[in-house]
Amino acid sequence: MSAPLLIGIGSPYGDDQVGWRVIEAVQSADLSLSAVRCETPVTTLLALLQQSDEVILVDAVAYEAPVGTVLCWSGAEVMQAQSAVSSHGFNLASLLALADSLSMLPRSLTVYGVVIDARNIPQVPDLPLSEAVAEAVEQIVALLRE
Amino acid sequence: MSEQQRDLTIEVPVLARVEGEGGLSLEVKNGQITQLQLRIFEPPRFFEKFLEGRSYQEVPDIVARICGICPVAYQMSAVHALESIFGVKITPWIRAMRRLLYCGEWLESHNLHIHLLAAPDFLGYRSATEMAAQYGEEVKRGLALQHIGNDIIRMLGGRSVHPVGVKVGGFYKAPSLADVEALKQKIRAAIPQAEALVRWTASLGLPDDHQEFVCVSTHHAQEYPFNEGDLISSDGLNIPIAEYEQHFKEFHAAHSTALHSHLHDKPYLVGPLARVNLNYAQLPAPVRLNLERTNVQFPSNNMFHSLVARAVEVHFALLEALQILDNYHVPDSPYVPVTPRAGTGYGCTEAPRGMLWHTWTTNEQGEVVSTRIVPPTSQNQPRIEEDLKLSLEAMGLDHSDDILRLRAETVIRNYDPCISCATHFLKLNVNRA
Repeated sequence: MSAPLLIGIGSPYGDDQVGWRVIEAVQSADLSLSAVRCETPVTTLLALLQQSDEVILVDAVAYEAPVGTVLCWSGAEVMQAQSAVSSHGFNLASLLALADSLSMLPRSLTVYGVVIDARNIPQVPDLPLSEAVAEAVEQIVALLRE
Repeated sequence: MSEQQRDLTIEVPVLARVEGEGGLSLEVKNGQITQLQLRIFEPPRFFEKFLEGRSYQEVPDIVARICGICPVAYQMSAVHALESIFGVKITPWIRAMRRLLYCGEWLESHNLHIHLLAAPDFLGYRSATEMAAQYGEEVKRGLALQHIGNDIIRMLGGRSVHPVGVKVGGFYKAPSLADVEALKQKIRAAIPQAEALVRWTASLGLPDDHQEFVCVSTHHAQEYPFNEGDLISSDGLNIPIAEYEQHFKEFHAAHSTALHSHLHDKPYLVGPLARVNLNYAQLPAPVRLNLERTNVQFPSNNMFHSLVARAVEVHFALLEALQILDNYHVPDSPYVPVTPRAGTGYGCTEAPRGMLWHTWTTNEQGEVVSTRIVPPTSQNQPRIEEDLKLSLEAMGLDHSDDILRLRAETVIRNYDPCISCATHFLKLNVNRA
């Protein structure tokens, strides 16, 4: 059986970096997870989902909830995860639905979403995360540690 | 007023299955289209201004950020322009690896467009997800071909998205023989899939909509164009890339944050259909023979044959990549030394969506003084608007709003527009008292 795979979806821009920051935190926390960054998921995510039977996804999501709120979906509910950013009209939910149509979903899939303010993502790369989203990174690492 | 001459207004507020933010406004009065605007309202991204003052060494990584789908094209046009300023002579190995890298980008971008963006339009589905339920094997085949493109870019660029392996003068690192061998095996196995893809796209029953338009691409006498060549058109243009500005004019349209572009005051087409139309003889014989087993012939003036042209280029890119890898060796150095100097240079290469023209000016230290980048989607924008008018009128304006809207979206998506690329520049005039 393959080791669990953590996929952090993100970009270099503002709080949309959150998936990548979780990957970095996990890599320095000595957790028994394979961890990989994903950018432009429309071209790369489906291939990554094939790499393990057990996948955990982290992405920035847009919800009516305070910035930094951590949401979690598993089972059929993963299709409800509305990512904050999409590419070519494909957000996370539609890519997971496509993977489901193609029988390409892993046996076990958990999605952690961190609520960000999707209307105010800066165009300048590599700015620090907002305080609430930085705290969410720690929260997810703690959840993964459990 | 008869049904055929009803007035109508169609608004597509946000275009689906394209990259970036754009919409469409259409007004019909007395049976005539009175206004048609492909509105691009994605905020301008000012990349040209960001680049001013930057060292030439930073340029490949910065321009790769312009687009997540075609970063290689931006890197290639930039490094060729900068190397022309600095008098750099690259080795045959570097030249071959740049063609290989471009193969990866075409495989990635073309398969994304064919399978996830365009094909649902021609098979009567609202999305690739719906289409996948019926055409799962075809979509899986497309994703597998796309992932070979990712593998090629990752091997040479360090990662498949926004690669970082390119430098002015060559590459930071040469792939290992073991990586090359593994990739060759994947490519060999995929060639029959690419052949089948061409035949599949040709069998889709694409709309029969013939139009008059001018095709533009780069052209090289000995090879299908990626990185080198003169600029040619279907109406007789044949110029060095340095003369681009004498023939092509960019202009601002109020409804778009992307500049429009004309050749001799008229719209023109860049992209896969233009390339195949103008460079058919440069395609390898197996590609032409496979295509000739279908009922689609090039040159074609049916814009919907762009889909087949993309598939043809997928087949070509696989064969080209395999040929390059069959002759691969690990070089003494994956780059040549660069000594910067002041000057102005030009680069023009073939992005998946079409010709991407750059000019760069540097100072003695190799810092960017100015640059101008002309991406393919902004060049195609007037052609898309022209095509929309002709296509909708040819189909008949008496159809329902929903049918007209769907055809309009199909026409736009057929160009695979990358709106994020197109809006990286907007002329900014600041008046200070």
